[in-house]
Amino acid sequence: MDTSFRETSTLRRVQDVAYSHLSVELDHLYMEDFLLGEQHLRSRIEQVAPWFETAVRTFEARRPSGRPRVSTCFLVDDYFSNLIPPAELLPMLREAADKGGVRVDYVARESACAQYEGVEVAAIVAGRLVSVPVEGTDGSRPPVAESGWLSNGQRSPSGPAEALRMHAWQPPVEAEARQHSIFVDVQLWSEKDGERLWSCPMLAAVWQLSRLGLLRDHGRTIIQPRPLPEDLPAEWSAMPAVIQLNRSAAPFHGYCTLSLLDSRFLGIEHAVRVILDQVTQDAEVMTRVVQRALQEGMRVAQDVTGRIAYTFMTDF
Amino acid sequence: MRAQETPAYSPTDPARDTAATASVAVGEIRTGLLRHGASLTTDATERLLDLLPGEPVLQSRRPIDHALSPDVANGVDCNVLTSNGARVHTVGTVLTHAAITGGRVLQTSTYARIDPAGSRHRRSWAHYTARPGRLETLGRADADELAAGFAALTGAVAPGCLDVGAVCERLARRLQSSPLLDGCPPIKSQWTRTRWTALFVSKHDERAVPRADFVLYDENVRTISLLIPYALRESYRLGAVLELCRDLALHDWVLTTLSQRIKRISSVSGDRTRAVGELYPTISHLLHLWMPGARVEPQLARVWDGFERQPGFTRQWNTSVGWIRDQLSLHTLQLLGGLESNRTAG
Repeated sequence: MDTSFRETSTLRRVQDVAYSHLSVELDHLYMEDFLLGEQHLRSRIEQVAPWFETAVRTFEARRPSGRPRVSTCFLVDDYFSNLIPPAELLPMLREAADKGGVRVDYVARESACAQYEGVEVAAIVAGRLVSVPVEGTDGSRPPVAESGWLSNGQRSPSGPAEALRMHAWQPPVEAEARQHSIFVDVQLWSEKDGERLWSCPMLAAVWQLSRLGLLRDHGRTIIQPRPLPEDLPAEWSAMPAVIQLNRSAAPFHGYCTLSLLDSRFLGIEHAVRVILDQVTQDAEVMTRVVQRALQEGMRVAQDVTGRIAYTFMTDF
Repeated sequence: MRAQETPAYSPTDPARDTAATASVAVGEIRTGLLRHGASLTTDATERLLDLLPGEPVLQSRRPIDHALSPDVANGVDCNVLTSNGARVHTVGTVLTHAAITGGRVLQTSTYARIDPAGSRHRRSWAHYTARPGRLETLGRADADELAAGFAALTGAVAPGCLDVGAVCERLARRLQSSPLLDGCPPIKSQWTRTRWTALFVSKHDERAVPRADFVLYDENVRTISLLIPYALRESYRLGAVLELCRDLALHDWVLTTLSQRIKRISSVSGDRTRAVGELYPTISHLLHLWMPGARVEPQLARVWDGFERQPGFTRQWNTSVGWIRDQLSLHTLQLLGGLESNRTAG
């Protein structure tokens, strides 16, 4: 007789998600930008349209076969301000997009990158940060960590003023410097009255991982698109994390992402990459994504930052 | 959307690699008694081992309560000593987890798989974070020499050389000072250090028989060296190897601790009542932990079988438990004898 025994509590389930080939983010606007009115919004959309068309054409030309699935999304900044309710903003955005000839498949809320349905999403990502080691890091000492900050190398030595005066200033070092350093120290969060306020780069890093379908909470996906509610609420917090505007849209998650952004976001995206380089990935999830893409004849980069592309747009 | 079940997943699984090259997994396990007077409850165990938000603590009840924390990663860029004294530059992340068995015994374990194929230069850090628990050498290295070099290093680790022991020691200290524990272990015991290596030989390697060597260095240091033939890679997944090494380390610790208790009690001459008094916590807290191989995957059970023949862990265990029961029986007889003589005198 063959017997088997197992306990489900010892199993780790990992949920799969549906993938597009490419997830395109169409610009990013602060709430204040929406206050500038519909005309401003339309001019932004008109600015995005040609870059988007070029990007999709280029992507399609590079794909070996078939028409790739491309979904588009738009991230609403409801974390740092909550000036315009969904009932006003969404119709405005849809109309501007329609008139500008750009298809918006999904709208996501930035605050869902911090916390959503009781899951501390940003904290999950922060927990997986592993600082880039400088040469000689052998495990014998705990990693040097400044709470709430993450750098791309080794900071300048600091100490009591008296001690520092004894020595000449020593520069910080970028761990992956090529001859010379570009040292970046990113603030991940600030704290006020015990409440943690996540920084824009931290939330943008979560946003990228979310679009790449790499986020899990106890093996479950956290952020999944939901249909547009019939009655739009007055508060963003009552909205789903990702709202599907286009019923026939390709899946929200993408094997890779492209963000069409205004040049003002260059600094933030550099910080995002500094963060993402240092997030240890769930190897199970990573393996499955690579395998699934391969089954469709698509090779995705092994590293997360290799899956993320940008076009920084110029207003000619 | 699908949900797929996988057994307790180990993210650095050599069996998943299609490459036919040799690789080596190395690690160190610290085993000791939780600083807590009673058996730790399931709830407290879960909270203690909740090391990573969003990742589960895997708990099981049969045949004994067992809990395993998620893995946390640490980045390293340092040397690994080979058996011929060379220093091989390696970069990547090591993983550390903790396990609690029977609500009593804490183990912290740090490990990594070393890929000796070698790259010419250090890659972007994103390359390493995408492969948690994997170290890559800069320049080609020999897997046999890496494994032998790691196993031979039972003393202090030279600065700049990979110190997995320090990483798991830090986690052990951190957990032991948790407010969830009352700080009062029921018996005095020592911690053991178990360094282990698993050499996964290449497709072209003729060594076809698996091998396991267990060496006791002194009171506290042990090494386990496994040689895994290419054909058995699938059975000896890294997750299974980790479980095997933790199981061996756990039982070695229980046996070591029991033997030390017996030695201590035997040295108390004459006063059997005091000796038996000292036996109580040993009986209550240690004896039920003996379940060799219970958590080891069937394919790896032959390693345990081999160690049962030579040196015969369970043989020594049974002898020790027999000695304890004899002491209790003698003490009972003594008490009964006392009662009898009292009655006669009365």
